[in-house]
Amino acid sequence: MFNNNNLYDDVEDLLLNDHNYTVTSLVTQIESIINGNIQPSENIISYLVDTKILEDISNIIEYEHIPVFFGKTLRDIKLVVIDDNLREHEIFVKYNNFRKLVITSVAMPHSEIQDQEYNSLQDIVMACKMHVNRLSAYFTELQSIDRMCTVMEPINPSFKDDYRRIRLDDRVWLHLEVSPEGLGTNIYLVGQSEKWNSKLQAGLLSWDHDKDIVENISRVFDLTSLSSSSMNSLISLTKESAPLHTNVCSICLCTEMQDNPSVPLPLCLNANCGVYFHRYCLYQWLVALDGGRIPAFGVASGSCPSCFKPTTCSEKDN
Amino acid sequence: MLANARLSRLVREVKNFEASPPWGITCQLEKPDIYDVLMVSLLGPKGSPYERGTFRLVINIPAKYPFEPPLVKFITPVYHPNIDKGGRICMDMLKMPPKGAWLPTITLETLLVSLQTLLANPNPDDPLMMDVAYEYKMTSIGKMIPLLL
Repeated sequence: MFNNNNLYDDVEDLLLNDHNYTVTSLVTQIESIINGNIQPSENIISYLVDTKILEDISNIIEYEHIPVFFGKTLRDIKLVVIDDNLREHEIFVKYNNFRKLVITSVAMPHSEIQDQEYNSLQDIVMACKMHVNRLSAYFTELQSIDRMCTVMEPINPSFKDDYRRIRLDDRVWLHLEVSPEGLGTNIYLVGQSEKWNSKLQAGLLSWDHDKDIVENISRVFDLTSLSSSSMNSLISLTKESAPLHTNVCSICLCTEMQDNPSVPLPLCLNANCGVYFHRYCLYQWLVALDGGRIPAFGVASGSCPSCFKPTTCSEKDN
Repeated sequence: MLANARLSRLVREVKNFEASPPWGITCQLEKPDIYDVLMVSLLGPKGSPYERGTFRLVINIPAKYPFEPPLVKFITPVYHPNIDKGGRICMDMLKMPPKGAWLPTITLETLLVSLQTLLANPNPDDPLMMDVAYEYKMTSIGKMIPLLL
């Protein structure tokens, strides 16, 4: 047997105090400490490695059949959990310490499962399986929207985003959010159009929550198909037919903005002005036109930098 | 955020200049990867007194670009009613509204092409150099009289 505390103290003294060792001399030092303190024992490995986590990982692979991946370091772990509907969910886990694991990221709306600390990977798998099965309707709705409709925003829709902006025509999109129960909420139009607006107002009253969202949308707006390519709507999930983002903001000359998920839209109130702007860019310009004064109620007004007609732009969407 | 719109736009503009430069204009970063100062060389427009001249300019990009106009200056001395001895340019496109006519939709390319046009077509009614403008007006009237006679 050996005196455990002694060993720790000696090694700690070696590492923490400034001795200015070279690497080789450091290793020799440690070696001599270990040799001087302990007789070889089977137990030594358990002091250096958390065997619990290794057991945990092998259990998960063997019994739960869940693939485990490692990231940049062995502390970054990725699990792929498959739910009852055979959807794959990636779960990113960080091993902080013995019996201290946290979920760093999942492709799901934020939930309480991300705020906890877990004892083992097994617990995480359990919690996630429960959670994804509870969200089943949510995933189904989003999947069918992504498959059947032309989604303009988010740019790369995932289960993490609980909203979708669906293209109705060149100027008008439909915004909707999907609740964890898979119901459509907070539905409104992005862009101005009498025609679509009156349809939406009438349609919202007869929105049928027993039917799925895509069915409701196509009934409300009398559309046979919202898909950009109705013929191959089933394969439109693949990347090649992903949204047609060709419109460039004429202020920043870009489509995508760093740190800003919104995409350019014809924002000018003049219906004949089809020039695309980021909401952020047009707003900043109208504020700058007014000498940099922050407008009341977050709505800036001035003349459109393209058609020169009076227009307004709010800082935030709706 | 402001910085993002500025940077992403400038990266694009500089790339465009390299890929498809307008006639007689080159525009490059003074120091690589620092999108603050641009060096321009501009050929005088054909058929103007400035033909075959090469004019060097410097463009300073303000922090609020494109919500503020860039600061453009001639380094090469120019004798022109709208350009003073220090190389400052009097052009409404370079000033913020309501006095000026800067728009965020104006690119550096359109700006430099307009400058080229300004060289060929001075605006003597909004002069920076009174004497040059006076001379320009008198000589152009002088040129017109023989045509009328």
